[in-house]
Order: sequence, then structure tokens, then C-alpha cells
Amino acid sequence: MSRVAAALAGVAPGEALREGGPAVAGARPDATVTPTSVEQLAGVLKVASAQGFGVVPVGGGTDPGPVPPLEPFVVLSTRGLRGVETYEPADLTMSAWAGTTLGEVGDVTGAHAQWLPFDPPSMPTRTLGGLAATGVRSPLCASYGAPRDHILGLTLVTGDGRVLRLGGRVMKNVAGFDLVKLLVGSRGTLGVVVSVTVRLFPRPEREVALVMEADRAEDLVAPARAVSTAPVLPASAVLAAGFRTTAAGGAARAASLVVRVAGAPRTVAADAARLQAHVGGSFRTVEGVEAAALFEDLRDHAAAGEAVVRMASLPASVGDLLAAVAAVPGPVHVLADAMAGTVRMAAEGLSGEAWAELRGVAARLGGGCVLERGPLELLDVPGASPDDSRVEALTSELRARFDPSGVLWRGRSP
Amino acid sequence: MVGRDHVITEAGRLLVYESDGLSAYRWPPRAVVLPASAEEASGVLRLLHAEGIPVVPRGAGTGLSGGALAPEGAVVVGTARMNRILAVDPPNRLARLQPGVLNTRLSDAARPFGLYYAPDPSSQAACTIGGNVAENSGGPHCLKYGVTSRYISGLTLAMVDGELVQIGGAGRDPEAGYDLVGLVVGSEGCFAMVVEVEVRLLPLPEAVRTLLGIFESVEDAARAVTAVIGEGLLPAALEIIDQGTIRAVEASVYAAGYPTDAGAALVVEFDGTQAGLDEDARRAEACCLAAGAREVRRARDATERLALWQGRKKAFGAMGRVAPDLLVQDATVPRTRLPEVLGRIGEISRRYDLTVGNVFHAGDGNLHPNILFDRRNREELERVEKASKEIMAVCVEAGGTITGEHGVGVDKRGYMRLVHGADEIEAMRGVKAVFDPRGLFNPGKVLPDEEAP
Repeated sequence: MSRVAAALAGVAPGEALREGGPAVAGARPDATVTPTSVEQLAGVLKVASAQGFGVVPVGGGTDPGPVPPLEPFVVLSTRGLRGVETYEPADLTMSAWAGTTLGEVGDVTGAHAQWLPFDPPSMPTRTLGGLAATGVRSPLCASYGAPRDHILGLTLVTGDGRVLRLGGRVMKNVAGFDLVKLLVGSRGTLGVVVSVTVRLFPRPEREVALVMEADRAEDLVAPARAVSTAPVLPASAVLAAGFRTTAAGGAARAASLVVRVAGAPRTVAADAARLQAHVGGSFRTVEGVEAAALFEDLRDHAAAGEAVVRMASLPASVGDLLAAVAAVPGPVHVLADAMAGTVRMAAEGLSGEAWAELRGVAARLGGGCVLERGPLELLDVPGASPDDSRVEALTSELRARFDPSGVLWRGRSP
Repeated sequence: MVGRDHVITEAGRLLVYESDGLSAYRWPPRAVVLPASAEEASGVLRLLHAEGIPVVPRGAGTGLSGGALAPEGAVVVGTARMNRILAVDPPNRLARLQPGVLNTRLSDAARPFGLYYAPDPSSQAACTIGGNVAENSGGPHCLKYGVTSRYISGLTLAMVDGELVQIGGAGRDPEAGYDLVGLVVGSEGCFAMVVEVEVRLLPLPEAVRTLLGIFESVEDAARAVTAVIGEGLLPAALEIIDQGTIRAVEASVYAAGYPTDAGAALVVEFDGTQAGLDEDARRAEACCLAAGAREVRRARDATERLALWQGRKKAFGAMGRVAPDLLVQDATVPRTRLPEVLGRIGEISRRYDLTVGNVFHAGDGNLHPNILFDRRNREELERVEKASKEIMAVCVEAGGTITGEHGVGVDKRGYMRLVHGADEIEAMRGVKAVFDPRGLFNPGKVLPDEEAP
């Protein structure tokens, strides 16, 4: 038994602890722990802080990032903490354990015609804890808001094993500093989220997709921009390249603009007509199960590949980002969020030059460019990054407050 | 640095700054400085930091929890002159502005582009965006649209040592790094001074439908609210006004034609695409009638809409006229617990022989019990404090919290331990220390005193 596994045997009983386990971004853990109680989980972090080994919290494992943690470390899985704690449909709120998947949340809320309106890649296998830890943005955020806006409260175990109950279960809460916002998107660098309370929404009665296709993504930039400045806000609007909507009865063209319109039947028809009139081009309307399948395909488009890159800019610059990814050699899958001005691109192989070029474009636009997945060598390619030294200092001091021994996600910045 | 006229030290001119919307307190500041730009604010803070002088950032002073009160020896840095809208960017639906811009002025500036700024606190004609950022302000329409934090995409901060730091920004990757913007919004001026704000704007809704339900009791109105939500409807606003408040409004210059024998009135508003609104309004009306509404009025035009809103919007003003002082309380409970909590608030006010009027954002479960009193009557003031504390305890017991949108400030510090444990409060203290290690920013606010060991 490794030193690390031996140290943990005291806090995590037999079935919760196993030696080794799946690699994280190529790094091998000494052990994988799956606690079944908050006390056990806190015990693991206390032992790690005392003994000085690293801890990598993992939920659904859908979003591990390209940077391997420093060894030695253990993987701390939240999958032993699952299930709904409280669900009050009339309050539109739910509290559930962090290891509950978004698919499971959807099953429970769907029975009451409610939902958690997020659509990131691999949505059903992501966990609620992972949603809080990543704060992942997705196209529906354009109309519904982001995870940060709808996570009302969470329970956190800090790097040194303190259990903090942050936020609450009510829609509006300004009692003290908003540590929930600090935690959402902190990617496991401040603590391990063990329970989450979210705000839910009534599931729209009707949803349709307005689809426009073209041979080149650039031909759809103008209509996409028209949608994102239209007087009516769609549920989401994405521009996909390397995506064929044949499944939804469309021609096999290289690029598609898909606008999601949701609401009461009469509202949907009127909103669709207003968008059509504002954009001027002609959309094809896809409805029912076909529309649902299309939204699901789009959700996971551009998220699988040897290299996955996420770029951010302002909505008005989305055409510049699309041009930059179009210049990447080889076949690429691209999904642009026209409302947010962000682009996700998946490629089989990404050269150092192409990566540097993408980062240069993002820097010129004052935006962001992040490698979500890909070969580690790419991270060594220099790219322009703005001077944020005071922000970096604040970040590392905040981290030290929550994880004084520095055991969480060693080797990665949030 | 800012010009002699913009440094106030004369006792007479300081009077304006000795209190805010929490009228029971009077704390005169040592001085007031009014910078006109981020650079001037930075210079002022650098100087105060070098001298070790505590700082209280202040917007319009409309806050209701005492957040802008200056503790002994503190200097107020006001944003009254930082009142320029720097840019409205319709293609990206953003605006950049200085913190002293009034909330309604921002929407006025965006309207020609078909856009508006969604958060609309009741004091919106008087309060500043900087103050809204400090308090994470809400408003009647945040049921559908969310609170201030959802609309703040970037901030420029003057740190305690005067350094200017930009955080967030709509064009930056929102998933990279900690959400410092989210952390600073609602920090009540305890972390840094906000010197520039970037906000998201929304397209103006095509149409609005406003209903007013008249009920025999507050409980019936609260049941109607639950029914409307249960229908899967998402109104822009759901607001309840109780009998005491209706009578105060009707007795004032703001009289809105609400029946004074009614137990409660409920304002329901839908906005969005014209085509769906009549159906939404029809379903909400049915919910009100099923919950026992005596009548449901429907606004036919903008003038009638304003009339229906009048009783809600002018409630605080009308209540304020009835007694020398008004304590505007604020707490949130899960929406389904509203009827029970309202009943218990009524019982508490009777027991302490106080007049309490309830006006509240029912859709969010955000209560505003307003207690009338006269601060010159010490014995009554004590009863007000005791009743407030009990009301807070009832809300927390029901699964709620001690403030939904007004902040902790000075007023609620004593209640913080009702909702947070010692570890949580220490964690908040630790985060404050990261921004402000010497405790110079708005001292004595939000966090309770450290417990004796």
C-alpha cells in the first residue's frame, strides 16, 4: 500500500478507498477516494493537509482540463454523495448532493415540468458539484443566465477540512459577502463542493429551432449578428461549422445557424416571426422531437477531439473568432455562441503555430483563449496575456485562505 | 487633488452626509471628498491609505441598512461628481459608466437604442449604479430578470492603496479565474471602491400587461402567487401590498384608488412579446379569482398601468408620512412559507404594539415589513428593535435569510449569527482581509464583532 493510501485508510473505510485509479490529464493518482459522507470527505482533506499530499476533486470527470496535477495526489470523487436532499416544486428550488448528475436532476424536475436550463457539452453526465465548480457557460445562458446566477447556496469543504454552508435556499440573499459567487467557477482550487441548491425554471411549453444553412460559416455571421441584436431575445443562438443538420431534414451543408425559441405556443410563434422579420433571411423551422435531437447534437458538437479550444470576445467580434478558427488547418468542429461572442473549437491535432495564432487573435480582440483539452506541449507556446498582477495576487491570497496547506489541484491555476 | 470646493469639512455641509436611508442613525463623517474620475479617486485613496484613515464610499445615500454611515474618524468618498455615462454600445448591449450615474438615467440613455437596464430598485430615480453594485440591489422585476449581479459584467476598482484594477469585462473569458466581479458586487463597500462599471443591457420588452388583484386577506394574495408560479407562468413582477399600507397610501397624496377595506392587493405584471401576454394575463387572473380575489383590475393603457403601480411604488413614501420614522425591514423566505411567516409577523407587531405595514416582492419571497415609530420615543425604539429581531428569527427559522436586497450594513450586523456559523463568518472576514488587510474600507459594517474567546 502506498504511503498516501495508508494515511487515508484511517478516515476512509475499505469500499471508499482504492489504490491507483484513472489518470487525470496523464498523471497517475496514488489512490481514489469516494467518500459517502461529508465527514469522511472532510477527513480526507484534513489528512492531506497534515501529510502534504495533493487532492484533485472530480465529479463527472467531463471537464478535467489539460494540466496534470503535481504528484503525489489522490482523486477525491464526489460520486459517493448523490441524490436530492429537498425539492419544493412550488418554490422552484432544489438542493442535491454534489455527485448527482444533471441528467438525474433533469429526470426529477422534468416530472414537475421544471428544469435547470443549462446545455453545456456532456450535460447529462456532468454533476451538480461540477456545474458549481466549473461555472460552465452554455448557449442557454443568453436568456436564462449562467450557473453563477442560479446557484443559491452550496456546502463546501475547504482545503483544510472546514465545512462551510454558504448562501441559502432563497431567491434573493445579500446577508454577508457573496462567497457562493467566489466558489462558482473556482474549479476545485478553494474547496470541494458537496451540496448545491439551485433555482429551477418552468420548462417551456414549446420549443422550436430556426435553422439557416450555408456552405461557409462566414456567410452566416451577418444573420447571426442580426439575431443577437434583434428586439426579441431568443433562448439561444449558435453557429455551428463542420456540423450537418441532415438528421433534422436539412441539406448536408458545412455551416448552420440555429436559433432556439422557447415559451408558450403563441409567444413562440410570434417571437419566431419577429426574428425572421428582423434577420431578413429565411429560416427553416424544426419542431418537436427533431428539434430536441438537434439541440442535443449541437450541445455536444465541438467538444470531442484531441484539442478543444474555447475563445471569448464580444458578440460583435464573433465573426473575427470564426475567421480565426476557419484558418486552422485540417477539419475542425466549431460551435459559436452568437449571443455571448464565444467560440468552442475541436480539432484532431493542433499545431503550435495554429495555437499561437488563435491566442494572438484573442489577445488583439481583448478576449480570451483557453485550451480546454489538448497536448500539454501547447501550453508552453507563448501567447500574449494581459498584465493582471494585482488580480493574480488577490487570487493566490484567496486560495491560501481556503486551502492554507495548498493541497487542492497543485499545479493548476483557477 | 480634487479641488478645494470638493472637500467638505464644515459642520453645516457635513449634515447631508451624517445619515442615509436608515434614519434612526446620525454619524457625522470627519470629511467628505468628491472626486470626479477614477484617477482622482485613486489619488484620494492613496493619500488616505498613507495616513491610515478609514474610508466610506457613498453613492446617493438611499441605502436602508446604514452602509453609507461614517464611523468615528472616517472620511466619506462620494461619487456625486462621477456621474458620466462613458459609452453605450448597442451592438454588444453594454454600457460603461461612472458609479455616480442614477439608475433611471442609465435606462434613459439606453432607450433610444431599444435597450434598458433591468434591475429597478424602488429608489431607482434617486439611487446610483455604484450603490446598486455595492448592495447587489434587487427591485420588483428581478423575479424574472434577476438581481444586479447578473447585469454587471466588469468593474474598475480603486483598491485600498489607490491602485486601479480592472476585473471581469464582457469580452473576457467568463470561465477563466475567480469570479471577482461576483464577489465584489454586494460587498457593501468593504473590499474596494468601484470607480467604473460595465453593465449588460436588455432589449426593451415589446409590451406589458399589468393586473391588480384585490383580496380579503394577505394569505389569499399569497396563495394566488403560489398558484401563478404553479401554472408555470413567469411574471416580470408579483408584488403584494397589505391593508395597513393600502390605507396609508389612500390617505396620502399618492391615493391610487385601491379599496381601503381590502385585506391586500396583488400587482401581477407580464412583459415580453405582445402575442402571448393576453393569454398569460388571463391565466393569472383565473389564479387570482380561484384564490378568492374580490376583483381583478386590468390596465388598458400606460396611464392605467401607472395607477395600478402607484400604491406599490409610493408605499414607502405614504407610510413615511404616517409617523416621524419608518424602519424599512427586509428579509427573504421560501415563497411557500409566505402565508405562515406573514401571520407570525402580524402576531409579533400586535405583541409589541407596533404598526407594521407589509409591502413586498412576493414572487421572490422577499418581505418588507415596515415598522412605524418615532425615534425620540426611546421606549418605542426599544420595542422596534426587539420586534425586528424576532421577525428576523422567524424568517430564518422558515428557511429564509435576514436580508434579500438591502444589505447588512450597520442595521443587520447583530443578526448575522442567526444565519451564519462562526466558521462562515471567519471565512468572510478572511476574504475581506485579502482586499483590505488593515480594515480601512467601510469599517464596522456587515461582519459582526469578533466573539470574545
